[in-house]
Amino acid sequence: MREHSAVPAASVRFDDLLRAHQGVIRAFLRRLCKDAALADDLAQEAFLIAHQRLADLRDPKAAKSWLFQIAYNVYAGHARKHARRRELFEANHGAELDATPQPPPAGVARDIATAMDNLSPEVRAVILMNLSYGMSHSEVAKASGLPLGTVKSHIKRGTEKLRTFLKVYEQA
Amino acid sequence: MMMENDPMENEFKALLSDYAAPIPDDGFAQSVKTRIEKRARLRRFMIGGASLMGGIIAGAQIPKLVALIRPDAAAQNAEMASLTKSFLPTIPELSLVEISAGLSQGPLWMTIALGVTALSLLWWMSQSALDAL
Repeated sequence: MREHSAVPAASVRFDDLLRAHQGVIRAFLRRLCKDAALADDLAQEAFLIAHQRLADLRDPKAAKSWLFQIAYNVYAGHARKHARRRELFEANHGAELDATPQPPPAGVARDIATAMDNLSPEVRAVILMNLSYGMSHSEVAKASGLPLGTVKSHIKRGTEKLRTFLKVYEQA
Repeated sequence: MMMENDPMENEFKALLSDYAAPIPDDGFAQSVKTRIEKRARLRRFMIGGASLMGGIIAGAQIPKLVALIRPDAAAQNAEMASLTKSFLPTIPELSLVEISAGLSQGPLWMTIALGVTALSLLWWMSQSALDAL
């Protein structure tokens, strides 16, 4: 069992990591699970894991992708459990769980959000990490645990969908 | 890199900048640190508890081990056993004294197996408690 709270240097480094990255990690998780409270719970869990595994972080420059990797794994674990519960619920009740209602269009920002939300969580995660948070393809592959080729293909297909959406939007 | 010199790349990034904008702290970092401190305290408590329990189980076996090595010290061991029993709290119906007395009559492997099971149970309980924090 590792305990880092007793080591001042590690604590300071963790505090720095927490302050520097909490905003993007929470935003990333909010966009993945579409639920602010749940996203914050998952983000807390991710940072607790990061604190426990701080010794695994060899290169401070890789901290961002390392945190994204932990956050994505926490989200994926939650999604798997949720999917299993959902299957059980539907098997027992024969009804679908709540479908998130689509908000009315309100400008291009809302529409791009809708377009992004329509992508699968995996593709959305990959696009967010690459386009929004400036991670390279190999960093995204490492963080998401997907093969590099899959990451590239997700980004290509995802951006094509967004491109199509924007063209339609501009024509409208 | 894909989409280099793509005029739409900047547009995508600009549009997504709102969508993926970092969220202000609003006490989030402090709540994470509080949870970490709580976990550390509970962990220390659990380790202390497990050590104490392991110590009691191991201590209860000392007279028996000594008797195995030095059969002539049986009388002294009996005194030590009674001393150990006098320190243990008496719980109605199923006391630790009764449990240790029962264990000392049984084979050594059973005592060890029970000790390992108890420690595993304690470990599992501590992990569950940590997850709940």
